[in-house]
Amino acid sequence: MLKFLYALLSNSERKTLTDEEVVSEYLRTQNNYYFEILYGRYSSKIFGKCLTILKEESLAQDATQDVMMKILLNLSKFGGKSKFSTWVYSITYNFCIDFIRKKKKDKSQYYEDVSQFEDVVDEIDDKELLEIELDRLKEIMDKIPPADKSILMMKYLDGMSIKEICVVINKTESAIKMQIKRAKLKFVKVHQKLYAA
Amino acid sequence: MEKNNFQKLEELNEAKFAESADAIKNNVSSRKGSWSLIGDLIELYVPRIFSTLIGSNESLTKNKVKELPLKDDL
Repeated sequence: MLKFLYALLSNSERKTLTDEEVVSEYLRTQNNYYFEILYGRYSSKIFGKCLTILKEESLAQDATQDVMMKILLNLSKFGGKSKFSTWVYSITYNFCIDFIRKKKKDKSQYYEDVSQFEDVVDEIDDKELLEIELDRLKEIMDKIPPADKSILMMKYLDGMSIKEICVVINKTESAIKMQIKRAKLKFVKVHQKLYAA
Repeated sequence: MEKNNFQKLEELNEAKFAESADAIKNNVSSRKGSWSLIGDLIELYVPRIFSTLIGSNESLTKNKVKELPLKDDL
């Protein structure tokens, strides 16, 4: 009975504690219970992002482990300047991009010669991008370079603001806007190559 | 609610996580354990090493001071 009550209490605590409260409790107590809360909330999301960027399940599994370790070891450096989720995702995106750079897999066949499509990009509406068929979206995301893929995910999946993306990528607002524009350009270009018929 | 296939794509990817969730959690826990063990060892022994080094350095300088010739001896 006591065990049941304890489980019930801890379940409600799991739900009510904010990420920031869990982090400060973990740092104060080093209790595994708080680590498990963070793991439960973020591990699948981290894996999902890693899989989208790295494309292979085994790589995504290893990356999830490494990202979780990185988060745990750097928890004391989380200053609360951004949302905890933004901080977690920034570690995830940067880890995946660095991983691919190291492996030198960043060679997309659609990377070069994008200038001819510049006029097309302005016509691409965000709504259109968000509603593109799932199979097509997956295929296009697999074809565009990881850095562009990541910035599109930050904007359209995580709903990050330009300022938040600036913090993640450590660039100025104008640079981020340009990078988003270029990423959309590549997205359109790949879409046209694959489906223009 | 606005349709967002980016989110749907991630949900599909997240669904694949269930198969490997436990294995990853165990690995992270064991790596976390190793790190905290290393941390504990450092916390325990590094101050001792420093205090030993400082102690031995102090005794060396005391000996050197003793070995210096006195003014009357010169």
